[in-house]
Amino acid sequence: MSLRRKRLTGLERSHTQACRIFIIPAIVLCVFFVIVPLIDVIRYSFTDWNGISADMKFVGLENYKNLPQMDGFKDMLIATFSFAIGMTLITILIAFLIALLLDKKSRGRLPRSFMRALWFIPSLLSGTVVGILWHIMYNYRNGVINTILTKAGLEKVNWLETVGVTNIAIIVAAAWVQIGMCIVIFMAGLQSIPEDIYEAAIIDGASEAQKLRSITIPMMAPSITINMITTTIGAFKAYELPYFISKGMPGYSTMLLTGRISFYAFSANKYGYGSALAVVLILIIAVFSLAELIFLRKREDIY
Amino acid sequence: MKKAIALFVALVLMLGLVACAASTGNATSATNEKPAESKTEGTTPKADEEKHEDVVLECYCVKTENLEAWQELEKRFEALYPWVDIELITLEFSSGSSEFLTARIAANDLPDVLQVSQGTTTRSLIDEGKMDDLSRFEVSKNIPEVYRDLLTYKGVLFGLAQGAAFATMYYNMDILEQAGWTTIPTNWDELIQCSKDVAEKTDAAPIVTSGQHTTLLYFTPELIAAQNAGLSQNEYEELFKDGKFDWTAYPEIEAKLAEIQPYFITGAASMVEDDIATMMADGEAAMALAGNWTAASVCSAIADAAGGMDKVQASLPPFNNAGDAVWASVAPEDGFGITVDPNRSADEQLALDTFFEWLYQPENFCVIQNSSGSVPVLTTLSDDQIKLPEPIVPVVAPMNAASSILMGFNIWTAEYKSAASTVLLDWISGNATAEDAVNTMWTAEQNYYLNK
Repeated sequence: MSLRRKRLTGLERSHTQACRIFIIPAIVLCVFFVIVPLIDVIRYSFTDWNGISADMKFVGLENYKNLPQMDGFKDMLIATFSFAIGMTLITILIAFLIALLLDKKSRGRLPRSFMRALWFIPSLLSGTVVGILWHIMYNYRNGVINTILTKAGLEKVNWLETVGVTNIAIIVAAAWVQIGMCIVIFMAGLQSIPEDIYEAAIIDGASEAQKLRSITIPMMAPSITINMITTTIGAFKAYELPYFISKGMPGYSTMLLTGRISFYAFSANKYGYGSALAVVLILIIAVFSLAELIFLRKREDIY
Repeated sequence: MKKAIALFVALVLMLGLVACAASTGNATSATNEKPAESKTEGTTPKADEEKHEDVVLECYCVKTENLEAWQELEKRFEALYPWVDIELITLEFSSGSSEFLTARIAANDLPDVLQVSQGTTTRSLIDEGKMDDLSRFEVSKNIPEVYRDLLTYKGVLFGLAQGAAFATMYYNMDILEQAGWTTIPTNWDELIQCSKDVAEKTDAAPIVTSGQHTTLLYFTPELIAAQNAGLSQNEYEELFKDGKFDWTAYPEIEAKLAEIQPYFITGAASMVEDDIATMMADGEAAMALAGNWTAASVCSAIADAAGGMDKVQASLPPFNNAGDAVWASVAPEDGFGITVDPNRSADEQLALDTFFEWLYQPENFCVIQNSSGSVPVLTTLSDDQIKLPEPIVPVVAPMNAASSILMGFNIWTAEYKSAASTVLLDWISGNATAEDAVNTMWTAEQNYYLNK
């Protein structure tokens, strides 16, 4: 069997050429703003550069070897993973439930649009603003959350200074921001499910729970995948929001790796060391996202 | 219909753009008109009658609470020197000021005037030859030698202090009276007893401070160390810089840290500096351990809660043992320095030098000075130019007479600061013991000492 390249017509050739031209700006931008900085970070991670000096010395793997000796390194790894996993699960679960509630046609178009917009508003705010906002809300003495608890006859909670509780506090705040975006994606997924499948299920006598388990969730698999991946990556990359809420307290229990990268690069004048930590975080995100993608794609194939 | 709406939106956007451009144009012409306006006032000095190119000077200050004072100075200077446009950059420490500065350093685009501390970034800049030696300025002689020495590194006077900072204890006498105290505590035992009485007899917490402000967080251990380590003045700093001040060698430090911890307000570790004034205004605490630079806001907050300024008192924190003299924790407030840029034109350098010399003239400098209420360091300031908050006035003389310890942040490395702050925040919030605190501080000091 011989493979023969299909000859392109004149129109096809000009289309291909146009595509190549149109893709050039995207490639140039990607090279200059993604590839080059990424290579630079990897290069710096093998040096002792302080971020200011014109000189830098190649130190090989020394920065990487010293990472485990960093104060609170283990705590920070646990904090980063617990934040990423906790935030992703809470966000996906709540966003899915809200999307299901908002999707009910009986609720009317206007109220549904209004509620969707309302949930989306936090996604428009910057992480710094949300961080400061929740820091104030969590204040032990005069924060609104403890005020509500006190009015309800409950004990005040020291949200920002209690191990474990502070982790939950930052996850809740971060989920509050991310939920709106996930709802939009879920609702788009829900609206793409053909009505006739549900109608057939109703004729077969399926209950609401059965419809959810056997139709909605399987048909929503692509939306779940995209939400899971983007939320996980966002959680691993989160910096300003958790930092402005808890500043890493208590101890290093809510100090994420991103916060430490910023500390070494910009405060401690150890840009090389900070870059090594950044490379480790990039690898963690890549591995975690890939694993998630493979698992979720398999689920999609099953359905 | 859809097309009509799209057309309408496009028209609105275009009109918006045109309006923006027009307003920018107006702003530009307004700036250009300023010289004529100021000339008519007859305030332009002789130097300004010469022809100069238009110059923009970037002035970076890490204190947003002084913004109004800086704007006032900007207005005054631009009226005198219409060819110079001062651009203020104000960023709080917590709002990414160090990231901003590092990015500008990396881009080799430093602001012309820079608020400087004794931190590692400033030292790196001096090592790179990027900070000017200010001893060439006549005004530098008007700053006392001790403050010049503190802002000198490798023979370069890189900053002129903007005031003296010291640790202060503020008292709400209304709450203290409810606890049975008509006078303020004068030593450690009285402070602890007073705190105990406040906790037992009133609804208020004894002491508020801000854990998120590392300087304030460090007041307690450093003052306890100063009072109990039996060191002479400056000895602590020398040992500390070499990683040889052993926090664990003085059992009194650990014991006193453990003794005072329960009297800090719950939530102190996560409080920012502004929260101190809020807590005092709400009558939530009887005493506030803070800096003299927030005297204006803290005193008026206490006056609001207690019903008048006569119910506000201040002193050096009474961490001294009975019979011993009280120590002060002092520092020059961050100074201002100027950066070196070989590409600056002659007019740009002239503008910069003129601005800096002008800034430290007493009639101008008192504007910044009085906006924060810090104690003056400029010797040419006259008494009528100094306006200190009333309760702070009686503290200045004891502060000048007291033995002093240099505020910790001045001799910290970033890594020590991070490790020590983390454990001190845990200590103040009850998540770590005093023993953990001294052990961690000693280990961190040995790992990250300044002269390593």
